[in-house]
Amino acid sequence: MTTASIPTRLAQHLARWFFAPQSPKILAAWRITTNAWTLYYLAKRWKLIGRTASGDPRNFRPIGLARPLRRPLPPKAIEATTTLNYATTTLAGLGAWYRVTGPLNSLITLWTLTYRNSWSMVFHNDNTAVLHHAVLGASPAADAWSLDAIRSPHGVTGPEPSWRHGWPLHAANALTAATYFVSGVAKLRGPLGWRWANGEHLRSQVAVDGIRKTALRPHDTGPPRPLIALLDRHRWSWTAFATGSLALELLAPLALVDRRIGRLWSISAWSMHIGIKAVMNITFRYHLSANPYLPFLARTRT
Amino acid sequence: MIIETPRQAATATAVGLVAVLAPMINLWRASPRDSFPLSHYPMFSARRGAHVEVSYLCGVRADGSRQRLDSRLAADGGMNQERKQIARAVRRGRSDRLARRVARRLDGRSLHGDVVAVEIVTGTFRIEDHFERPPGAIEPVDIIVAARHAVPKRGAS
Repeated sequence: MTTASIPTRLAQHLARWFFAPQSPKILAAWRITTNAWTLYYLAKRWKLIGRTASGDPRNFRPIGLARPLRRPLPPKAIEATTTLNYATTTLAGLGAWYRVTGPLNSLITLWTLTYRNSWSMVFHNDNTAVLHHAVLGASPAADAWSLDAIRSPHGVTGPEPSWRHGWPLHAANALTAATYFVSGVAKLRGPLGWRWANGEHLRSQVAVDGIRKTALRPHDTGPPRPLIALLDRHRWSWTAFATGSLALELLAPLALVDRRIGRLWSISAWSMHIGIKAVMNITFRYHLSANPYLPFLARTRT
Repeated sequence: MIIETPRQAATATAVGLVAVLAPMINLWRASPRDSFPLSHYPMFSARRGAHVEVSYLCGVRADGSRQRLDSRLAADGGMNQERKQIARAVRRGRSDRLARRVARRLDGRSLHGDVVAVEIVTGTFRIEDHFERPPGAIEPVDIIVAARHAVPKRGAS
C-alpha cells in the first residue's frame, strides 16, 4: 500500500458511510417528530415570546440573524412571524409543498428562536433544534409519509432507499456531535482546565443554580432535593458525574465512527440530560425529548 | 433549496460543521460574545468561589421584615433572562426605575397585600448553604439595597 492511498481509502470509506442508502420513511419519521416537537415547543411559548418582544428595549441584545437590528421590532411584527412559524412548522411536518415549506420553515424557526434569544440571555438548548431544522429543510424529507408523497407517483411510502435519504441523518448526527465537542472544549479552556473533571465545579454550579432559583422564584423552590443530598453524602459521585459528562462531550465525534458506538453515545447523552434535570433542575427541552438522538438509532443500509 | 447532488450534500455538511466548530476560536479570546445558533457554549465553565451574588426583588412589610418576590414582576423571558436583566439594571444604575415599576405592578394587581415597599437588592449567598439548608431557609450573608420604592397607597416611606 502506498502512503498516497491512505487518504484516498479514508475518503472512500467516508463517502460509503455518508452516502449509504436509507429508506425515505426513516427521514420522514424524523421530519414528523422534529416538527411536532417544535410546534409544541413554540406553541407553549406564545405568551413568553410576545412578552419578551414587548420588554424594555434596553435589554435588547441582538445576536446572530438579528444582529443588524438597532432596536427591537414592533411586538406585532414578532407575533406575525411567530404565527407564520406555526404555519410553516405544521406544513413542513405534514410534508405539504415541502420544497418551499421545508427550507422556509428552517429559516423562520431560526428567526423566531434567534429573536427570542436576543434579550440578554442565550438559551443554548435551542441551538441543536435549529441546526436539525436546517438539515431537514435542505433534504427531501417529505418523499414519504407526507401530503406531497400521496400526490407523487411513488405513493405515500415513497421511492426506493437512496443516498438522498441517508446523508441528512448523518449530517444531523455530525452536527449534534460537534455541538457537544465544542461544549467539552469550552470547559477545558475555562479557568479550571482539566480540573473541571474533579466535580467540585459542578457541585458549585448546582449550588449557584439552586440559590438563584431560591432568590428569583421564591414560591417555586419546592422541597429539598433528596438526590442532591444523596450525591453530597458521596462526594466522589460529583467527580463521576463531571468526568462522565466531560468524556461524553469530548468523545462525541466517536459516535460517528460506528453505529453501535453512536447508539451507546446517544443513549448516554440523553441520560446525561435526564441527570442534569434531576440534579440541577435545568431542562434541556429538545435534548430531553430524545428527538436529537433518533438519527443515531437509524439502521444504515450498505 | 433541497439538495439534489452528492457534491451539494457533502459541501453543505462540511460548511455546517465548520460553522458549528468555528466559534471555538472565541475560547482563545479575552472577552468573547456569545451568539445563536453558533455558540462557544460558555455555560458551566466559569470559575465559582465560595459565595455567589444574586440581584433580586424584595418586598418590605410594615414591620421592616423582607420577603423575596418573583422576578417575573420585573422582567420577562424566563428565569435566567430575568436574572440577567435585573443584574444589568443594578449595574447600570437603573434599579430605581425598576423598583418603581414593580411597586406599581404590586399595586395594580393587588399582589402581596402586606408588602409596603419594593427593594432591588444584591444578596451574597454561601454556596455551602445550598447543601446544608432547605431551599426556603437559605438567606444571604450580606445584602446591598440598590433601590427602594414604596407601593402606592400602602403607606410606606
